[in-house]
Amino acid sequence: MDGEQPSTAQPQPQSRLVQTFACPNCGAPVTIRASGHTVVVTCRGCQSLIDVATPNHQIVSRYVSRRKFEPLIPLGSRGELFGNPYEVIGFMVRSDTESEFRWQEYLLFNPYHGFRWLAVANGHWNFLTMIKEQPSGASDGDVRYDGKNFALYFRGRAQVDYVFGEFYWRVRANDVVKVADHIAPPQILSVELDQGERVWSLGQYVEPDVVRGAFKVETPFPVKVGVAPNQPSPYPRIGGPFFFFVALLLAIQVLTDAFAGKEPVYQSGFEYARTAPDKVKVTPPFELKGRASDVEVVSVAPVNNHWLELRMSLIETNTGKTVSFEQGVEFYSGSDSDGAWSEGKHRHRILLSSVPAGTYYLTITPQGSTDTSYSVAVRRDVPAWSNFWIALTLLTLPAMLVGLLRYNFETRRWADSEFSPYQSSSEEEE
Amino acid sequence: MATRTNVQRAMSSKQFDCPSCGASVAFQCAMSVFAVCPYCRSMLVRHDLDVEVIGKMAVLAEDTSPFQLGTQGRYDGRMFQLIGRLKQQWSDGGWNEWCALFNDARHGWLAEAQGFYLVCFETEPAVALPARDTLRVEQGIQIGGESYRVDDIKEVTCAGSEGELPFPAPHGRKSTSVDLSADGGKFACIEYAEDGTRLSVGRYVDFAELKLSFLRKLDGW
Repeated sequence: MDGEQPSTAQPQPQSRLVQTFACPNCGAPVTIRASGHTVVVTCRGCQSLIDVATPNHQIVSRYVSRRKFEPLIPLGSRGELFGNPYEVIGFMVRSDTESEFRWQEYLLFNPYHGFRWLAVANGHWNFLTMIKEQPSGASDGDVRYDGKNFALYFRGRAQVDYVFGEFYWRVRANDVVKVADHIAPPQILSVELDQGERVWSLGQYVEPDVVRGAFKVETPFPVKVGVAPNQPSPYPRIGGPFFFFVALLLAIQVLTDAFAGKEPVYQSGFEYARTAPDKVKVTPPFELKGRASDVEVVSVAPVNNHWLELRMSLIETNTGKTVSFEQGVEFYSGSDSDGAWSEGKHRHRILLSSVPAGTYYLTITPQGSTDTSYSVAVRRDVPAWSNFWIALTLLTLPAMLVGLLRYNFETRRWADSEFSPYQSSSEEEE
Repeated sequence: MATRTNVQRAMSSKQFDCPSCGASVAFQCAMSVFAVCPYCRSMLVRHDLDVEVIGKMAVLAEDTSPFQLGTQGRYDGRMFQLIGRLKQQWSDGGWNEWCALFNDARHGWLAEAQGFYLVCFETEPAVALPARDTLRVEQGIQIGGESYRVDDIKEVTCAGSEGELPFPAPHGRKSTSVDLSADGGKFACIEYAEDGTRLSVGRYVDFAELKLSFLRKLDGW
């Protein structure tokens, strides 16, 4: 709906929209703001409920409520909500017959756009519009409307405790109707079953400050308590994006790995003898080309029940820039009462990250518990998976945090509902 | 109601002098047989060549309707103009039925009740409509191959009318109005009156959807 002010025909004599008459009970002036629609109206003076559907204005009830309720928004206030101005013309206090939980409802009127409702419970507000189209699956449980699934949240009986102002149906205190609420946050679908007729309303969660600002209410509104049935979660549903980014990350890593050069630049075998005088080996120079990237060094030694340690330095011939590292292999095997066993590895792999291009050689200083042969292989441009695991962790931790907060919010939302999908079996037994 | 005479009339629009006050009264829709003189509120019934005064219309009670005679709008791509109004009353309130003349010379109804709007058109029922006394709330009936459900049955009195209408609608005219609904916002109404039974079929519409102009100016809104 747009809030466009419709064009009008030639100027008409100003019609008296607000009608006033004297209360048949106490004589105080009673005003009607939605004449033509209003069926009953209360007198501000004596609280009598007056029938105005017929011209003779009969008293329906001289009901004196045990308790008088003050509306948070004064009747007659005008404010703009969802693009259209509305005037507050009616106020109702209702309660659940079983729990005696109490809430307030305000009837809003715009002569062009019709009636709306504002309902406030536990400090949470909803803006409601009656709908003529019946949601499907309406008899029981969840319902579908406007392509969305609305989960059953509440079923009970609502009683009218107090009425004030004017209404377009014959409301009266102590009226009881069956009600049910279905939620698809931030929306709510409420249904009232009154004498065989199902009346559905679609509600939208509204922040209290929006309502207060719209109707320029000076006094503060009640503080929000708990989580409202259809309060939008501040924690987004992130499963989809999370798995999308994990898949993206994995794809990037797999592709990087697949397209990486992994170019062998040097490989050679050596002999280690504990008694030999020239145990230190110096390799011939080899070229590392291209942009700075990872270098993989793999040492293999066929030791058994022995160990071999290799201290190595990768040295650039021109600059003398040195990267030192150690590699060790050890392997033990045997058999005991449980059978054959083995531990350790014949192979040690190390990744040196971001090695710039240049001419390099390796110095190898071996030390071992036995004489053995060994081999050293150098490969250029071997991508590291460590970055992938770090990125995955950085992605997963906040996602889990948001997921937990969202779960917590949802359990609080459903805490008061007997239809909660989060309720544990022990709670159900209570 | 679409008798042969009415269909023949549908080709012309006529002016008559009000026999009571002499003012010129137009029948814009050839289907119209009844009009209220805007000057002296005489109720005029049109015959083939002249008009007959059948009484004086009461002053219509004030309401907050956003419409007036001359209000224009669109529905399903067709332009319409409001040419008459029937103000209906029942024990728990009232509503307005505005007669709309469309630019293809058809007429339809724009009804407003409890802040809701609906547009419907009179149709000839394919099968005989159920008798008034057999209908019950929540009963299902078939109309045009569609399953409708009876929402309510109201005993209605006309609280007055203005403009021109396809049947005589003096204040006090009695009828039984049966509202029915089907999936998708579809709406039907059966009116049982002394002058016949009328079936109308249509749907609920949004105020903005009608793209209305020449609306009634409502003080303060």
